[in-house]
Amino acid sequence: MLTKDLLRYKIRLEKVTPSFVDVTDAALLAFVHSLQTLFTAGSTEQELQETASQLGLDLHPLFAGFKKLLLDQCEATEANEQVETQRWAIIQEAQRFRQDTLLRSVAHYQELVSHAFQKPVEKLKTELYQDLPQYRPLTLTSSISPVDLLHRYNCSLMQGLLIHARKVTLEVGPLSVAQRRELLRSLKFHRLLVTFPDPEWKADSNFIMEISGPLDLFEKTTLYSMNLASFFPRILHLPEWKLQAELVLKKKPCVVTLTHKQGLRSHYAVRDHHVPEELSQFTQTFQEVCPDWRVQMATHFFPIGKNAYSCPDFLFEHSTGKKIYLELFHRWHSSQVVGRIEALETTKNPLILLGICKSIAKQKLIQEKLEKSQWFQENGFVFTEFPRAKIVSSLLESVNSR
Amino acid sequence: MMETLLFSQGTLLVNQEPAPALQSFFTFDPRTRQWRAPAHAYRDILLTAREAGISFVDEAKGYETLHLQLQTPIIPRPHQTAALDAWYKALQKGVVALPTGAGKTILAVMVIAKVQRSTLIVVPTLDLVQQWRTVLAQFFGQEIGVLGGGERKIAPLTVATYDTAKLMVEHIGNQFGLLIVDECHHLPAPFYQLIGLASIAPFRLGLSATLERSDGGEERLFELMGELVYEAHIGDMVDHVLAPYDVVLIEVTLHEQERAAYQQARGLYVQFLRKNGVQMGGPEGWRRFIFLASRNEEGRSAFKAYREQKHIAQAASAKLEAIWNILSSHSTESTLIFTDDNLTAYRIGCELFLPVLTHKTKPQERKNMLDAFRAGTLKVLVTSKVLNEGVDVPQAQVGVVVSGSGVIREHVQRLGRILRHQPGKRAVLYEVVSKDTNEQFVNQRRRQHHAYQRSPSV
Repeated sequence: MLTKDLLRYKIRLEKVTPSFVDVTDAALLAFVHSLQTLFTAGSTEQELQETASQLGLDLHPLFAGFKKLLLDQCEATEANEQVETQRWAIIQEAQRFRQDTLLRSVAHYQELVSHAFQKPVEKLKTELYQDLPQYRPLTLTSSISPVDLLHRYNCSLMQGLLIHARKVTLEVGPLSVAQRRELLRSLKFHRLLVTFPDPEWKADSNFIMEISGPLDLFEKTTLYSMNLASFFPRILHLPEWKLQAELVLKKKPCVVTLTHKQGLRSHYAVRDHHVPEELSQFTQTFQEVCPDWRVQMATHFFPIGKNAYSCPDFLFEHSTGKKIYLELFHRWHSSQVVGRIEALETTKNPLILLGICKSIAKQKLIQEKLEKSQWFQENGFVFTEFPRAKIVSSLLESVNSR
Repeated sequence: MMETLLFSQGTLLVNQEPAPALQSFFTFDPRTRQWRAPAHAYRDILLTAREAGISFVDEAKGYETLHLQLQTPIIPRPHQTAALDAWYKALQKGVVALPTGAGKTILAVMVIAKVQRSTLIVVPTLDLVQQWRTVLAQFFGQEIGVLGGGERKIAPLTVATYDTAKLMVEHIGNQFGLLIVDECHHLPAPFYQLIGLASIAPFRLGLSATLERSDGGEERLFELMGELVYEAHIGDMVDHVLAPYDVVLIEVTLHEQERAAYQQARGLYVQFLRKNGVQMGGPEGWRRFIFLASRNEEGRSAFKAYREQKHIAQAASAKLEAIWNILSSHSTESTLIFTDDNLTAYRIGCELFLPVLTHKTKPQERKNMLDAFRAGTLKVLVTSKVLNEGVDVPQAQVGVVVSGSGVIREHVQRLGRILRHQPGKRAVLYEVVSKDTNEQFVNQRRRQHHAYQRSPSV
């Protein structure tokens, strides 16, 4: 993430325009490539700076920003422990001279210490703190292409601006169930909450949410700006989005707006959005087994309290008009099962049923919850690979008859 | 159904509309469909509920009542007794301002022993974490929890750095009934306020030697920790609580080459300010300068010149001679040398073969250096800013400010390092300043504190 002094942007009429770099700029790519070459040479930070100065690279206005990003990906090699041992010996010997000897001058004192360690004064001085990080060779912990580094710069620039955010509004385009789950999971992971103007989120339409932290309810603060900045790269995974952030820069309020059209790219890994093909086929099989119910992939999600959201997979609509949702839990989102049952135990509307994959139903905590929960006994079931149409049909009829 | 009060992410929640008497504390949160209050309102919610005869299930409270026994009896000094009484009368909430060396840690131990609740002590540095851990273990004879520096152990008495407390308070803010914030003038900083806001601790003690903040954040501090309940100044305590001291100003002259380079850089910088009408009298001027400096090549050159002239004045080679002379006159006395930046600290360390303690020093070596300094086997320590606050080095008798900012608080804290009372001790603080440079103005600015408004010898 770029620090405050490295942020490049313009403000006009309270509108902030970040100075993103052009990721196709050949000259910039060449400049970045030169910097990366320096960083792969195993030099110390001080040597890097000196070489960059000799080559004139440090005159480039973006030098400091890229240097920061590359340093973030570096590790200093382990310090030589002998340096510390020798330092203490020199310091103690030098102190002895200061206390016990009549010294004529600094030079006299330095000569005495030099003689005691049989090393020239300059060498002693140079070696005294040679184990500081800036004197230790750096190694890059990951390789990154010049283009990716430019993308990283743009993302870090926006993250650096979001550190000054007081309010963030995000509009997202149509999302799959898996994408919605991932977005909500990321928000929760970053300890952020969202306000939905519309209580139901239809997957086939745009949706606007205000993102904030728990204490933002009482006063607008920047307490959660680090959470917002860390969350930002997740937004870049979404297909269509528009973000508007209210910032305070140089003590003045201003606004930055960004959309997917600007082409920023996330360096976070994309999570697995795998949906088994069997589930897609389920609707067809179910319809054949149970003609009284019309089934479709669900396109809504529901806040169910306590900062939890249900994203059902299927919507069943009875010929009488009654609607029941089914949410399935597979092995890749087992961590939410217990919390989801507890939330649904107290939620009466909408009517949501739960299907739990057998592989996670065996986990000790989940197993205990399934056995103890009266709600689950009446509204849930366990499936092996994918739900069988007959089991779902039978549960629907049971719920419908209550 | 009886209401249940829950703690969640630094806030308090109830799942149904609160009773009328409590509604002023809670706001309906449409994000989670619950009623929410900031965690720091816990005490007022409890007291109001009690007065109104409202009972609820308190699942928010996660702290314990303790049965601590002091292992070493404390004979408090009069000002400590007065401060404790004042804090108690203010309903066990409030800020106490005492000069460094006046025994703030002992006051905190007295408060912990009196309150008998799980306690979180928040301190600015890892050195202070270790210092508090040692003192608490000594007085209470039990293992002390630590949050910070790679340690994550929570105990009934836990010490945390501000940085770690800020990260964890949303999860652990309900586990402590007493919150003690050392050097609490840092708390109003935007990122640290969360520590006070997200903690339910009904009992709170803020400790500081220097409450002054240039941004007027004191009000926020009092909102989070309670009002200023007791204050004493250095001048009130010299001789009987603090060591008497002298402040000596040493002006050094730049060498010819340094003078030429200084004037050239200073000229370039001042010319840029004049041309752009920038007044450097306050934070606005500085912000404007930074803004203009980033706009073009001329601005960048001006900024480079600004840094160069500052560096020349702060690191004048004549200062090394001055330090040498001071060390020669005090060769058997424990001496702390303060600089504004690490580079100057290491330059002095390398030239004079002295131990340097900065944030880059490895934790074990930091500890070794401080232990050796306290034991008197190391007579000199060079440091930039990490020893400015809190660290207890009672032996320090001589302080040398080689360079620093114009911030009064920093200067008073540095003076405080050498004022711990010891029989027969007389402390001396040297300020080494480059003559006819901007350093002289910086020096005058940071001396605007009552500790420096007296005669040079106190």
